Amino acid sequence: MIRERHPKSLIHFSFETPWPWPSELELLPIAWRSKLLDSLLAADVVSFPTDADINAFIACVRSFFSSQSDDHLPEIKYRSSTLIVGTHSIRLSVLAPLVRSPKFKEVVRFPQTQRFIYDLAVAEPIHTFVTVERSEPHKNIVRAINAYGELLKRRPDLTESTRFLLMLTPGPTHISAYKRVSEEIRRAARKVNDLAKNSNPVRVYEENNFYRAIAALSIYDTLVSVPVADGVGRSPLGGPIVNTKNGGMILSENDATKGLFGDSVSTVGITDIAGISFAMEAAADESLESRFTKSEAILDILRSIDPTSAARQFLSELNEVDHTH
Amino acid sequence: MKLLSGRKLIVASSRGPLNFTEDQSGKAVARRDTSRSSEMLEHLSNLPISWVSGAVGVADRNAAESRSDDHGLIQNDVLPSDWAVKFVSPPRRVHHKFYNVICNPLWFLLHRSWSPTFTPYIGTQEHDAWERGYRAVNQSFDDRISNIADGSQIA
Repeated sequence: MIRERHPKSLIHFSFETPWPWPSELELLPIAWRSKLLDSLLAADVVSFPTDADINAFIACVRSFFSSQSDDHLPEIKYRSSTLIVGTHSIRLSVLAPLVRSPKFKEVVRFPQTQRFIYDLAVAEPIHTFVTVERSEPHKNIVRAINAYGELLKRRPDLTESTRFLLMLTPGPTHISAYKRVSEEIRRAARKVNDLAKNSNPVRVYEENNFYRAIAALSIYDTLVSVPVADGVGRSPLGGPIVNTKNGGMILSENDATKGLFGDSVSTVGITDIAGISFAMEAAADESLESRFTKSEAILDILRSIDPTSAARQFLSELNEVDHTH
Repeated sequence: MKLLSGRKLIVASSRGPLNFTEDQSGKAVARRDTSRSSEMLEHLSNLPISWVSGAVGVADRNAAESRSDDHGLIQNDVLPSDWAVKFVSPPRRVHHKFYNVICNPLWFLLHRSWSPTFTPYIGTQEHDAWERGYRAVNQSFDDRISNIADGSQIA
């Protein structure tokens, strides 16, 4: 629509969510898909959270046009980060991650946050797994709890020396999928706690409480973020900034930040409950030296990210396209 | 950072840099929003940016009426002085079709949360919501952007 009314405009479309693969996009009616893709293909730049999303987008464009019966279909090429559809070029990019170090550092010093840090502290040395997420179906929280349950079944000795804290921002529970996921999370937590007898190692806080969430990030030994799909990765980007325990991270291969941290984090498949469980076991048994080395590597990566880089990239991409116009 | 050569910079996003709550007396109170787009562009606070964003909550919708000046700009004291915000505030029924019937299910699609055997359910109500909700709201964004452009080149 904008392109029709403003043919010479520069259009930058920035996605904060993952892009689906053709097998997922085709669940939408053909006319809807057509409108969505036409609209995006009218842009000059489209940015996505990860390279995988770019690949999925290109696959959707190819799949959509190849399914058309028109004899005059556009030629589609992709090279040097540019998708060429007929005579129109679209630059595809991965937008730099947004690190909110100053804000997190400020909030962790607030008295409210310090009070929650005190409340969450325990006298005995205990390994604390932490998940800080919105309570959404794609966050895969039930599998993370089930994985912890498998860990305690395999290693009962860890029942007293580990715990799993989940700080979950409630979703809109008038939508049935959110209500259901909230119930499933509580059921999974109850099941693990029932097995653990009196120790209740899983604690779910479903609330809008940014201070308690930041407090939990400051004390994790292992941050667990295993989303089915994710575009932003706020906890893995913000957690290490305020963490005081040289904590490590278990990330799913679909977490938006996984590629950023490389071997400094444990990577797991999204449905692999056993795999997540073994990664938790390895984290609980990891030596302090190894943890320190990895957490320093994670912090080095985060410190190297200029907080203004995403904004600079946005402007520079528009400027580059402006010059080619 | 370099300015775009003579173009007006317009940012359109469902959630913009500004939202409202209401205090106990019902008075609208402006706040900075923490969406990714507004946090990212915080670093461009020295650039004149026109934002077109959705009136997401009830307080936003009320503010769209009570806080707009003659040009539809939302009056506030929390954004950089060179930033201007216009809300897109469709009628409640249109917003419901846009947000609840189309955008929420699309969110599940984008996050791989559909199970093709059972979801989504796309019947006549959803097709109606696509036309009269999703596309209608996008058209409103388009109209607001064209209104701001006012014949200028835009980015």
